[in-house]
Amino acid sequence: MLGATNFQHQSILGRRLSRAELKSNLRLAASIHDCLFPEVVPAMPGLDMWAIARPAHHVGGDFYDFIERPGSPMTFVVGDISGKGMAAAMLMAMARTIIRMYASSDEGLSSEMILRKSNRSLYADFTRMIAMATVFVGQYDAVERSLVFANAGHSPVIYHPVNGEPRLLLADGMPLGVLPDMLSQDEKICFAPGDVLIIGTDGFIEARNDKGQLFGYDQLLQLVGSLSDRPAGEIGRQLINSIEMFGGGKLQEDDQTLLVLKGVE
Amino acid sequence: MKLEPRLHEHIKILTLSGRFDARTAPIVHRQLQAATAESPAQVVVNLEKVEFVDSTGLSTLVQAMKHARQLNGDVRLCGMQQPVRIIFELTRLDKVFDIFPTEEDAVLTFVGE
Repeated sequence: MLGATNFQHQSILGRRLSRAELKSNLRLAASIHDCLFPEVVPAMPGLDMWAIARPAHHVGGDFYDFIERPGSPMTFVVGDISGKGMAAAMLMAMARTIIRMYASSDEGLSSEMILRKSNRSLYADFTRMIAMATVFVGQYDAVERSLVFANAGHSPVIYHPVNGEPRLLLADGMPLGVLPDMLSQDEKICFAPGDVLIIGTDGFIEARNDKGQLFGYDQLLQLVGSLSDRPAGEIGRQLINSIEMFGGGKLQEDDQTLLVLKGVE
Repeated sequence: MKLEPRLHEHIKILTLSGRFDARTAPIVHRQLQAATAESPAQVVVNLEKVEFVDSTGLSTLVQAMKHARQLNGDVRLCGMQQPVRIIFELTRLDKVFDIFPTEEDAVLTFVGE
């Protein structure tokens, strides 16, 4: 649709849009897209957090979100809608709203239930639109210093405990929109000072260099292992720099989103 | 992306090659739409020459599988290279699709259905 190179496009009203109108529409879409992301990363006792979303085009299908409910664990979400550009961004807005609605509900739903109910709400529309969404939902309990999460086909998710090696937290369920019922279940991990959790999107793993080689999981795990003693922001920025250097100035092909959580005293 | 559609009795076989991503998915989608348009929607997608599949490629296969199953058929996959297999495992789509080592294995499962 908007990715085409023609000067003019047919609008749904049958009127042809000029390039200036298209640009203006795209700017407006990009500013609305920006508003779908949190203005700030919330301050949470015992947690240092940093996040970034870098769409490959003006807008994209990646998102992250934080949902706070007084007296309840903070919920954080990272998601990736299949596809790219405007179409993916529209579906992302839909998915984000549905997930946010369940995460902020007074029922106090667990990560698993947020995913299950979101999938039921999105399934029919996603089927019609040939879409699916990988989503990671986590809930941080500052009193217990623990994380409960559920993972619907999302990767990479890397957990690096302070006294261990970095490892992938693999999804146990498939993406939203694939089957009418979800299979993801809640898992719980301790999140002590020094522990690191990194949730990225596939745009990181699939970044390519000029030889066509992918950045890949092994390199990402090694990099995380070498950075985990730093603050969340430094870890995140260094990961971005490393991906950019690997790409050698090549245009970013896919949306890239990153959320870094680090346990602190 | 190269496409090689073939028929083995009533089973439609689609061999893909190259990168299966947002750029090439619309061509595959059209072929799969045609292959799953009517019963028996029994389709084998051979991925042995596919070096990379992204989320658009995956959702294209998911859509075709849903459509085929509505018609009591299926889309079955075969011949995955290791990097493609890993993508299916990480997204847990390996639990949704029936995946076979060879095209012959996949075709045989349809025979007699």
